[in-house]
Amino acid sequence: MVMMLRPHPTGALWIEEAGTALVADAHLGYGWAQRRRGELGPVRDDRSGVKLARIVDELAPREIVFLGDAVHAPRPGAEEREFVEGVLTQLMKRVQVTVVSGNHDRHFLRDYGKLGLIPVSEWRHQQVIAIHGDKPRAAEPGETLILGHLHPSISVADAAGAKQRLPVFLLASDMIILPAFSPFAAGIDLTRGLTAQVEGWIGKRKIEAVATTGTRLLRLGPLSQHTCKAPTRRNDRMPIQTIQRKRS
Amino acid sequence: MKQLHPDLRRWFDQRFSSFTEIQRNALRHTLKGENTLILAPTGTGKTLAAFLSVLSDLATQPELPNAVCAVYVSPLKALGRDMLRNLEEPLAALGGRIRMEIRTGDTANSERGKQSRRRPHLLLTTPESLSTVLSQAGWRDGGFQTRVVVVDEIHAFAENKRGSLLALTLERLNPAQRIGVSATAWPTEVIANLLCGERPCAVASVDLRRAHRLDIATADSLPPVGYNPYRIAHKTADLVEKADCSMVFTATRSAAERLGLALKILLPEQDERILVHHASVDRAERLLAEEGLADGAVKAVVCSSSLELGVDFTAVDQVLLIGAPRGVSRALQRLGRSGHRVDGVSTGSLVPLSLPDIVSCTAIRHAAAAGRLDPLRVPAAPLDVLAQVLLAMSIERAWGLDEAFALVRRSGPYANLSRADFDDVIVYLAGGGRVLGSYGTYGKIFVEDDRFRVASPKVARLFYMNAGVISDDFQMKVVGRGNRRLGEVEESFIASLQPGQAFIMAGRSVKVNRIHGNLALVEPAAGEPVAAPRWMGGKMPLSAGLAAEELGLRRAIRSAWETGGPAACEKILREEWGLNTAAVALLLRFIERQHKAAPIPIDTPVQVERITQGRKTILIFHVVAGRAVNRSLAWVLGSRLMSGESAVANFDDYAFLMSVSKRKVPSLEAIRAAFDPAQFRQDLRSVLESTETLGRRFRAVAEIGQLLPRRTIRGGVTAKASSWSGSLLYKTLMEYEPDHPLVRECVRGTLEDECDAAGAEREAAKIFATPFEVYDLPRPSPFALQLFAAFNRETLMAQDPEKALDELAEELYGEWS
Repeated sequence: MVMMLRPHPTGALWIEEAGTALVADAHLGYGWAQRRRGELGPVRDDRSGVKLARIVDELAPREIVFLGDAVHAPRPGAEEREFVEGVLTQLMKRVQVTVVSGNHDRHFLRDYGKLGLIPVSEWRHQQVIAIHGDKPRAAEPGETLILGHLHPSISVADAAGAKQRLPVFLLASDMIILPAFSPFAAGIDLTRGLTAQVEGWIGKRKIEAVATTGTRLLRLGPLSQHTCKAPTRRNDRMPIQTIQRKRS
Repeated sequence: MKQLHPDLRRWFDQRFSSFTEIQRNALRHTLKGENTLILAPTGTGKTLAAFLSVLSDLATQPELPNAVCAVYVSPLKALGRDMLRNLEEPLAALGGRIRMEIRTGDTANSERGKQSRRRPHLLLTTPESLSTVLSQAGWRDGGFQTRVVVVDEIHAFAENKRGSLLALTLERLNPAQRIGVSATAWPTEVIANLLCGERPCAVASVDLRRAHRLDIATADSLPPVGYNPYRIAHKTADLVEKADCSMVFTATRSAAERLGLALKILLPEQDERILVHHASVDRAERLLAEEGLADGAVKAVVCSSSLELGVDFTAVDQVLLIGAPRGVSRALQRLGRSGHRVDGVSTGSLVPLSLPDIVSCTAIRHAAAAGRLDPLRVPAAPLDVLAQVLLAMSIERAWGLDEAFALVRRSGPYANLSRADFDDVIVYLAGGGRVLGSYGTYGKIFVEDDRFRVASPKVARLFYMNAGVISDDFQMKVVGRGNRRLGEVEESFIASLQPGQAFIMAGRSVKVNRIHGNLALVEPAAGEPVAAPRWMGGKMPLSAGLAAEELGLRRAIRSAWETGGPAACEKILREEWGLNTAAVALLLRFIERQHKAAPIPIDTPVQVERITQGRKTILIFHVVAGRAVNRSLAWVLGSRLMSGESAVANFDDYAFLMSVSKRKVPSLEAIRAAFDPAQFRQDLRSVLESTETLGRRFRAVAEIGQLLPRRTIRGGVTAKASSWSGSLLYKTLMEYEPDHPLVRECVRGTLEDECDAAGAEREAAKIFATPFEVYDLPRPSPFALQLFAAFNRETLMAQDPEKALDELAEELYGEWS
């Protein structure tokens, strides 16, 4: 039996059979962490909370899995902690929350121990294995790997010729790479060529890219179409409308 | 008239026969200690005019303190180095008592420490370095007791944010006397205001219409489209060969590289004596070229804008301008590099790159002869630069808010800054804003009892690494054999190279051997296909003055053609516009082709071409108004005419086009209505906000405004900072704090400086009230070909783009010549 793994416009992956929605790379508290480093950007990211609430409203999951990098930085300041704990506590009132460890949240237990969430190294449902993706892991034949960590995106140009990076799901028959859930992550633009990391994971697989605009999904077709060589001028002026019309 | 110091006068008399006109005019004011703007063409001794009074003043002081008493600020490091050389002699003549040092981003750390202890009396620097030096601890105990500041080539600061930084930094320096030196610029009030604000400022000037000879040198045959420098390489090589020492100016760095390589191939015996110079070539290589130009050891230097400003090159006897420069002032500035001696006559040639380029070159030559300069446009009170300077001030010492506000308002560009805007910037720097209340956590400054100071030494360190207003993309250093640094290219360019593909750098063709950190290690190429790098900061838009000139020429040609045909046309081109036989012959064939399709497009009536291809109709509007205006017009027209429908637009300096579905072609009435100037700005802003344009621009604003660092310290070394995506940051701020000062600056800068909203609005009003002439054509007319070809380049990119352009033109029009 083939399990249905369904991308959601928020950037979550919905596994109906398990009642689980997975989100990767939420990087909660990013704005605060950047402030601590001396930047003056906005600290609010209500949008993460809004998106999480939307997942709960629309999919009614039993469980939400943070697939690594749930928080951005160790040793949070007071406001940062208050914010992160607020988002997670709200969520925990409605669904079961599971945290898979990533490279950014190794100290999750120390920093956010009072939430009572114990990070695990992977999440598993039958033949589906979900890991963060910062460390290599081989899958047995018949297994499907779900990864975060890579922040894949593809840049498309709008009608004014200005480029915009859209986070993408990378889908293969036995592997799914999730886009970054954080509203602050623009992602690694794959039209500039695959990074060694992405290439290392996907190998020779045939990959389909599905972009999220936040409100809907755009099927972009095979990845190879978008990553051929350097970005060509063709991308420079392709209006978004053109791509949307291709939706099947 | 107050006299020069006798030792200085003695030196001057030994060296020169007499004062030049501008020196006499300037000394009348400068010796009295008046603020003075010295306006004169290059080569008239105007910089010396400024320094004579400065040196005389310093020499007259019985004792000089251990402090900077005079500051020389220039837009280019190269100018400072040049001045260092030039002033050695007079300083020696004054007994060597006056210490002089140069301070730029290139100054070594050891040197910096030395300078702050044993301070130079005369400091040669740039606005960026001056701004940081004024903040540094080592200089705070009276390190600056500035009697006078000299700002060289001040016109080069006028139209960008460096000017805003300069004006604010001058207020911090607060010298007793300000002297500005400027070439070829207009209106003078704008520059005087930048230099002095509302303080009185004397103007010393001479007639800018200095004798110059400017030819138009056409290649034997020219294509109807494109800017490929290879096409004129033979012609350029001939011209270079005939002169002793040439400067060859191109529009872009990429073109400079390509032409440099072509000249080396065409003139093999001069291979070693042909060099390439632009901002991305390594400093050592640049110095080599500059020295070669000064002493005539080089045959030619091919450069972009990097050698445009007044470094003295006495040996240069010819200036070649490849392709029509986009402004008259720019053309004159470049031309002024030749015959660079007092009373010398600048000689040079414009080398058109295509047939329509002959028209543009002719227009430039006409405007230059008449001395019609492009009016300067100064950015109005950019808030990002203000944020940076307030932070710099907070590092220097604690400031009262009122005191700082008064200082800022004394500068020209910020004279009308509102207190509310000032306070917003303070709140932002303090880490506050709508999200965090008035002052927040982790701010860059502390505000207490109406005073502000820097929050921590860490903030100061980060600031020193990130000061400045010139945004740079991540650059990779290109290093050749034996660790020889050749220059820098953008990372994205290196990433786009195919394995084994070579590229041109500093006039050599090289291929990447290995990438190591931010170094690209290269070795000489051996016949691989060669790519020319692209650098940011592309071409300048056509200036308004030049647009008027081009229209004047087009009108003259059209009316001659319509009344007397080719013969009449030839007559006016020769007699009134001074074109030579070869150029006239080339141009006439082009005009003839044009008139078979449609008359030469002018401004009254406004010409519109309609071309239907398959299911698409392309509307081409001939509006000679510069790229910025045309882009704004195209965007507003697109949004007004095609609301909800997709329209694809493109533009250049001379026209813009829209491609729409054949069944949805708007009527002429609808098109006219879409030019309605009412609500124009609001509509332009809505279009901008519906695209990524503002987000794309936000990163630069955030970097100047110190919201995002460009560089950071990682493991003890300076590294490229990677954090927020500019456009996501912009979106977040738009959502939570749309009145954030940097968001407002981003919108203002894009709308006013980049899109020229005011100019576009005026142009829209003009078109709205002007009759149209519409031509339904099977193929674009020759004058529309450049824009049409650019529009179609996406289908051309698969092959060599320049070759593809030729093929497209040939397909549409057959052989040209």
